[in-house]
Amino acid sequence: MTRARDVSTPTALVLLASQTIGTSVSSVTVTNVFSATYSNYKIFLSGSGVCSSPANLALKLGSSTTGYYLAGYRIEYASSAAVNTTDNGASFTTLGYGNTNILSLSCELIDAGVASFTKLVNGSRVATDAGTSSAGIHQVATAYTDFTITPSAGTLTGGTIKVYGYK
Amino acid sequence: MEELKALIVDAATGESYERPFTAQEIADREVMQAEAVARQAEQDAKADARVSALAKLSALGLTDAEVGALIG
Repeated sequence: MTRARDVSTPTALVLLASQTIGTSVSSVTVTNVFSATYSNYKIFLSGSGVCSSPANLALKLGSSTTGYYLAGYRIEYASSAAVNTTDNGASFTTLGYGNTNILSLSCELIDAGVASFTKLVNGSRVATDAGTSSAGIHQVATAYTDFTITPSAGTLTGGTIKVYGYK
Repeated sequence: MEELKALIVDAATGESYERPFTAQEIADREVMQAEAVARQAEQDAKADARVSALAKLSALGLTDAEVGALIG
C-alpha cells in the first residue's frame, strides 16, 4: 500500500490511501482515513477492476445506515434519454457501477471527518449504457473515520481504490 | 453457498486483511439487492412509458424534430 503522507514534501492534496481490491470481495472498507486534518476528500475507484454481476456500488460512512440523500441526472448514451434519479436510504446506494467489464466510482466528500452533515459532490456513475452525475448529503452530524463500498450484487475483483485529502 | 468476504484497509498503517461478512452485513446486502431489483424495475417502467408516450405523440402527427423540441 502506498501512502503519500509518508512523502516528506507537504502538499494541500495528499494521497491518503491506495489499495488494490484483490479477488472476489463483497465489500471494501477503508478505515482511519477521514479526520479533521482534511476538509474534503476525493475517492476514486479505478483500474481494470470488475464486478461479477451488474451492480450499483454503494458508499456508506462508518456504520451509519440512515440519512443518505442522493440526487442524480442520468443520460443514456444511445438514446440521450434523461432520467432524474433519487436515492434516499441506508447508503449512497447508486453512487457507482460495476459489471464484468468495468468498475466505476468517483466522488468528493465534504466535511466527512468532522461532526457535521457530510456533503457529496461530483458523484460520477459511469455505466456501459449511461452516465450519471450526482450530488447528495448525509444528514447525520457525526465525524467519521471510515467508509465502505459495497456492490448490490456479485463480488469485486481488481481495480484500485484511492482516497485523497484536500486541505 | 458463496462465502461473502470483506476487505478491510487501514489507511493509517497501510495494513489490510479479509474477513467473512457478519450477519448484519449479509442482511444489509440482501436489502440492497432487493432495492436494486426494485429500482431497475422502476427504471424499466419509466423507459417503457417513454417509448409509449413517444409513439402516441408520433401518432398525433408530431415529427421527430417536434417531439425532440417538446421533451428536450
